Amino acid sequence: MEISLQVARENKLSRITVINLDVGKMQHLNESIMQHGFDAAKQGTTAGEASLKLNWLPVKLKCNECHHIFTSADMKLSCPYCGSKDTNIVQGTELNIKSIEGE
Amino acid sequence: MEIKVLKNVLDKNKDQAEENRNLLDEHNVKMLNFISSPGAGKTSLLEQTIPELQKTMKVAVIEGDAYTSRDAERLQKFGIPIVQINTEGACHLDSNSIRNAFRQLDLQSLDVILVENVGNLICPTGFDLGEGYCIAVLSTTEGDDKPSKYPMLFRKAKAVVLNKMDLLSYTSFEKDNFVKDIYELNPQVQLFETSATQGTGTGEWNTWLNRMLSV
Repeated sequence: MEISLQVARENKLSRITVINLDVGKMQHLNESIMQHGFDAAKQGTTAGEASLKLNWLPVKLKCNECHHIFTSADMKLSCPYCGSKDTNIVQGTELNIKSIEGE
Repeated sequence: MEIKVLKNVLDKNKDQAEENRNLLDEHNVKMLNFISSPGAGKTSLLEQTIPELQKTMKVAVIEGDAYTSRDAERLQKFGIPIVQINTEGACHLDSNSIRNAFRQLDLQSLDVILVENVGNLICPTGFDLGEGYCIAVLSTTEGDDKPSKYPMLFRKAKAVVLNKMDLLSYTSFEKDNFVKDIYELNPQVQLFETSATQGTGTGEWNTWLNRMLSV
């Protein structure tokens, strides 16, 4: 919220209407709790009427052995191509403000 | 009008965590972040760990607690510096509260800081404190499905301590499933089995910890 309000000030927005947030699925966040927290935080700010839009990003990993990139829906983090457990998370841990909309 | 922001919500915490890390490096202090659910046995494990570390190192504890100072009181018997952080209901410690806690410690005189985070498996995992690494504590009474339900913590942890092994036979905890899930998430993890209140299994854990902290 602090970041959004600052960006709004820098861009001379009088009110924020939407905050677009990228959320990685690996964060295991609960949408209704997020909305609830957002509603509490926006009170009395230029984002008082704003809505929070969550864009859920699936968990993607890159295998360090065979270099395939794959999506994991069930939190299995080993490579489905070669079975290696040596993988890096390339997407799914985000909690980023993508953009704000306002006027 | 849409304005691109592309900023991580936790950037501010990360920046302060890096500052904390640099400060610890300057003073040659190692910091560990203990994360578990409420009641898994973090404090009991620390009660078994602190006297062992004290033999060769200067130890301090930062206690994160939502409201009370009961855990800090339990550790007072060791005569070490303890900083209590009351998060006033917040479910995790952040890097800024740790920075404030440092101001109450003489970093120059310390070797190790053990941070006992607020009991919670989700939020503390997202907030880097500037620690060297984090230790996950899980108890057998919580169920063997916790690694797959809270993958971020178990992926990140340097070691997992499975506590309350003395109660294993009274629970439906399937250790084989647990072990399989843990290594799936984190093939390099160190796994320990303890009963902290009985003082069993803690020898191996203490040996490993001593070795990690001595390098």
